[in-house]
Amino acid sequence: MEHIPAPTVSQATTPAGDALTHAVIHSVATLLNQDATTISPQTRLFEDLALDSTGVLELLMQLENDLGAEFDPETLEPADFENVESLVAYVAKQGDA
Amino acid sequence: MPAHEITRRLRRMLTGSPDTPCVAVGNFEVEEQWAKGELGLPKVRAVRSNATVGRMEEFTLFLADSGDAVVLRESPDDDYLSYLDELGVGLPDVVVVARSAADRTVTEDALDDPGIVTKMERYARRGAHLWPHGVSASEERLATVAHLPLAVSGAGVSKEVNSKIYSRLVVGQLGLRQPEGTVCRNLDEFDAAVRTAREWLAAGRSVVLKDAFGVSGKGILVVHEAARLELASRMIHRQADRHGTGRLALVMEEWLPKRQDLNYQFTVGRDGSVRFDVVKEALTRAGVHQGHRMPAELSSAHLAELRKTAKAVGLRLADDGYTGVAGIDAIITVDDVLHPVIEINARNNMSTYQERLRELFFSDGEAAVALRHPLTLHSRISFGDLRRRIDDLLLSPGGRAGVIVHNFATVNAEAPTAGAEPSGFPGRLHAIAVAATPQQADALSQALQARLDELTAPQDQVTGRSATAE
Repeated sequence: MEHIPAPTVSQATTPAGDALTHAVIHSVATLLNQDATTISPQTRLFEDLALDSTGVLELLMQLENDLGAEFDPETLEPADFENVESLVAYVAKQGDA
Repeated sequence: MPAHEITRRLRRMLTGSPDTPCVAVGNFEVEEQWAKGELGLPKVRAVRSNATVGRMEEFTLFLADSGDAVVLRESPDDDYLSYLDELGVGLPDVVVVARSAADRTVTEDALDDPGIVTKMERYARRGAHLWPHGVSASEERLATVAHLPLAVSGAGVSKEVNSKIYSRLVVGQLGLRQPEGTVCRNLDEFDAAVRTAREWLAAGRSVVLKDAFGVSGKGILVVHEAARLELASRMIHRQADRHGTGRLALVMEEWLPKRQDLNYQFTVGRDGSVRFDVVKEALTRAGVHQGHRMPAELSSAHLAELRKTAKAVGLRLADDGYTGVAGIDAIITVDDVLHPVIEINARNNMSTYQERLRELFFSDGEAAVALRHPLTLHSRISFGDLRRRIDDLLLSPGGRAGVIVHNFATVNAEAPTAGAEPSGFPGRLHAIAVAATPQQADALSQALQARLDELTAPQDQVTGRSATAE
């Protein structure tokens, strides 16, 4: 799998936002052992990638590891995990907090 | 008077008389109630509430018998009730709550129903007992309000027995085999467990962190690498800091490679007696329960060990004040070692709702496989319409092979509400395929799934699997 340098969470705005999107896709792909090119911002995490509640926690841990960030799982709303794009927005928001 | 022997036997054990009527409540979300306020693995609310789990309440039609009642969120499909009647299941009265809310359990819906006391009056007068799926504080309140004594233990004992901390400690005290591990009731115990886990991981062993009050298939984190363990540890510490407590409800165990999941059920009577009911092979996918295979393929030595374990654990539960049905999850590892207690479920189990069907249709050497079949719909489907599509596969009354529809309510549970934008939605049909051999039962299940797949919407609308399987 191609190595994508992980940006820091503070790079969440465009054009660094694109980098964050790439990094989140990289984390999702790594966790699910899936080709990153099959995942887009519109990919739905539950329906398309079959993520479940345990997978959500594991994904947060993967993101913490890859981005060097810290997340509070209790701040997650179902809408944050709608698709990759909404997850990127959540990550960016947490980085700004 | 309940018509079926299995019903009468359970009533005798739980209430003292085989003829005690019961009011059944299918609060399948009881484990979520027990988990409230408990800190374990970091909680995520990212998974939407699941209407399908709520409509599993319809299984109570197989717990209550003729002369009993079930309290439901919605009326069952009339044609489905007629179908069950044809099968000789023995239909109870159906009491529907005045108003159902998605974020409430059926018990909470009933407590919010100003007419519930009147609706329950005739059953209370006849000495009926309330028999919930499991007992939390809400079910205790309903029992009090409706003047229906509980047929099973109260919320405190039920929650305690259901905890994985309780099961690890009891199994240890009884000298039974279980995966190596430890309980974590506070951060100090957790830190000690993490130190042990680091050593195990360094030695090539895997570990699992489990919520003591985790809902089936959830609240489990399998760890193969030290880095992942440290991340989990930091998250758990941060969570404790945020909540200002050092109290935890977790267990840490070695994660063992398994070749078979088992589920067995026993009943603890109000007099402290224990009866072994049944053992089944549990079918799981990614840790999520999918169904059962009956009978389980087991050596006589393993079966004898399970029976002995059920007796020992059941007597201990009785000593600790538990009355009711209990289920135990067990595994056989790839090296053929039986671990007879992985967790204790202090509530009804799927087996509880299958036992009457087993008595009627597959207690004489037949093979059966009970599965949840995913399907995707564009709009609600009636049981009559579904039946027309699968009628030739259905078990006929008195037949020896065929499919039994075990829950129809879950098919339409996720249907958009009136006025909402039409879209495809996932459904689930619970069915049991009965045949002379396991292979024939599997073939029947596959044939049923193929018919259901014909209903499935195009892939770009919605996939055929539920995204929020419990």
